[in-house]
Amino acid sequence: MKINGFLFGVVIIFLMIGFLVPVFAAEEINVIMYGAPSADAINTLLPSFEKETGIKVNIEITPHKEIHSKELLDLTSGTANYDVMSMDNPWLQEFVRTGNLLPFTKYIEKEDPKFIEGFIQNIYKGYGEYEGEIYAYPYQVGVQVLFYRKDLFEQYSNDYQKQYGYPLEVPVTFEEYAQIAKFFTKKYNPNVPTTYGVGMAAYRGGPALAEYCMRLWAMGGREFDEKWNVQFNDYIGVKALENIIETGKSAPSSYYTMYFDEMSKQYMSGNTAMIIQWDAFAGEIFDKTKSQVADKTGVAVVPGTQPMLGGWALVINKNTKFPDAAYKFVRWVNSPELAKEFVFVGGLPGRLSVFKDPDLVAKYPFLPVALKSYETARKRTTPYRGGPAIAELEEYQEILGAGINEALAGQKSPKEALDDTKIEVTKMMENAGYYGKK
Amino acid sequence: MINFIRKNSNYLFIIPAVVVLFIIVIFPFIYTFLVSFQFWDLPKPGSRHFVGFANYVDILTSKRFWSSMAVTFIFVGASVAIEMVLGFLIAALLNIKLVILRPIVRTLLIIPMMVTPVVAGTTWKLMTNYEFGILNYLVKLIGLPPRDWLGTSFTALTMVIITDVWQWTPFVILIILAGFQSLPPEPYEAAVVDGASNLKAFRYITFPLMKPFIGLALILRVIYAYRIFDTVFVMTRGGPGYSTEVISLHLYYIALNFFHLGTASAISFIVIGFATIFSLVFINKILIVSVRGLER
Repeated sequence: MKINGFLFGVVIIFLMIGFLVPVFAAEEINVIMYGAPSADAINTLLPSFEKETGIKVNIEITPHKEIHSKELLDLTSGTANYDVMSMDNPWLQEFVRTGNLLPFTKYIEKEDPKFIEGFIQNIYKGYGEYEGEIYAYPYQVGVQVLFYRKDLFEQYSNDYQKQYGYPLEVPVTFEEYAQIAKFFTKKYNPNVPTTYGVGMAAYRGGPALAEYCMRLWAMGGREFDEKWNVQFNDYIGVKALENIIETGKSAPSSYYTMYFDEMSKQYMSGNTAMIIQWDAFAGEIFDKTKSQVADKTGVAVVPGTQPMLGGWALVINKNTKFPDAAYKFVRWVNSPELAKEFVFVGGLPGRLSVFKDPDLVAKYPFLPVALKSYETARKRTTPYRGGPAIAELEEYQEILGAGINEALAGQKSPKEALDDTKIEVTKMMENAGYYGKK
Repeated sequence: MINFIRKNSNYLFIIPAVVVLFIIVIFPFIYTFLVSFQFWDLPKPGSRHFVGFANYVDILTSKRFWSSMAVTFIFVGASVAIEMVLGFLIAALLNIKLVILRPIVRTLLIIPMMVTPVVAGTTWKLMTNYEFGILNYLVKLIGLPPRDWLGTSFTALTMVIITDVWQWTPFVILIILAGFQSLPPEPYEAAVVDGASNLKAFRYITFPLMKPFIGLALILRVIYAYRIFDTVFVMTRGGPGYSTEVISLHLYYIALNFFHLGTASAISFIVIGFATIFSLVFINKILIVSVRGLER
């Protein structure tokens, strides 16, 4: 078995060439994105970016359930499989703490100040700022708004007045919301055309938390106090949970196994009077080709005026081979020139110009309402307005979301569910070091 | 050199397999064992440190862990019990000589087993859909009210069990049927001569002779059912609440959603612990009974 020296040498040379090739390769970045409407928007407009800059961009769209683990694994393992990632804004603390996010500082120093000022400032800081450094640009903003059938509100305002003694108006408290929901539910009120007064999405985890927090905050409650002790099992917390259960009677009985997109589909099919939904879904709801109620829908700030701040930002992996190319891409997605175009194809960038542009406002009347909602929107990771944030959102969301879901499914009473959840969350906070080092 | 290879060829041939086994099984096993005594949150680099038995104590005092184990035990117990009884009965039916269609039925029975668990789970999830699922349609036909099958804890677990029964009863049927077809006719002829009734024949001849096959089906099903993940994940993701969160799902959340690798490693070993106790107690007992049956 003689080894042929010549062949051996040839193989070695080919291997060496193979390793050297990436160094001379054209700039190419991998992007992982959440499959919201804006991902399609970016895909549609991508060819113009690639032609202009010569940078090849590979976009991978991942469902919401998997994207957090995938991105966190990529960040913590040091491999930069993805150069740019779309990050749900509550994950900022967690991602920065891995030590693998690229701060934008040196790019911002060279940046045109008007570019930075064009962002809605509290979103720009809220999504991207941590300990003085900026790590992200908000390319897809999100806030909960109330979508309602303004045609039905007009049509039945007299009936409502007869039944309750005061006119039918857009609800400003959750008690009113529950009442109007009951009014528009066929099984309680056979005269109305809608089967359900409301749609709700309270799937165990994020959606359950979304329904809960806006009520908790509206009623003046808090999840934690300043010392990070759990507070959501006090009487306000229980009241908020009871309100969901009460309102749930006017929603499909499987509401606590529904996700946001299913709730939208239900509303768009026309058999529901109101939903509280992320503004990112507004594009679909007002699209006549997809929605039966496109021209019958009105938008308002959520009851209680304390919507949850959602929305996604783009971050760069520190270990990327092409940081400049990655930044160019991130900047392009957030550029003022393209912002308007993005909205027309389904996106919603965090730039003030988008919300004030007269053409856009004419086509999408929800924009001013959304802008107003951003003023009072709250991040779900802060225990109180303006306070610090917890990094362990995924786990917190999972535990509290599951606890709420248990109460909604009728397995436990609201107080019991919240008390049990308090024990688990306290344990989690303890392990994470919030009560002092162990 | 050639002589060395020739003399020790036995060992040299198994080296590739040993290497693979080491990389895939032995090394991860030992490493996970070591990690189970550490605190290691993947998103927090630098926080990794030794904590001794703290992880194990935390888990064994965690309500959610015991709830997962309870759900798993209920699931395994119910599915396997139903599959064994149903499988045995159907195999007995198929064993009757009049069933000319046996080859066709046997082929049809394999189909549920060949379907990917994810596909099975998704299909059953669609069938149990409140608005347009076929289950509610049939229920309404009988005159009963439609239900949200996956939305209530009791019915959700029931549906998961039913899906598993649908998928794996054929497995039991095939094993038991093979057993039936291997039974010798002589004991039965002797029993007829002795005037035994059908029931007595079953109890004293069939059942003892079938014990190895029943034992085999039982052990294989329990081991496989213990590890269930795909079907439950796709149908309910552990909900509503925690009512269908089997231990593999619980482990998935802890390891791959929250990245508490130390805790997850400890859970893995506790799960292995339960499996070991099960094997020591039950498999030994069942295997001994089965082997004794074969010896006769």
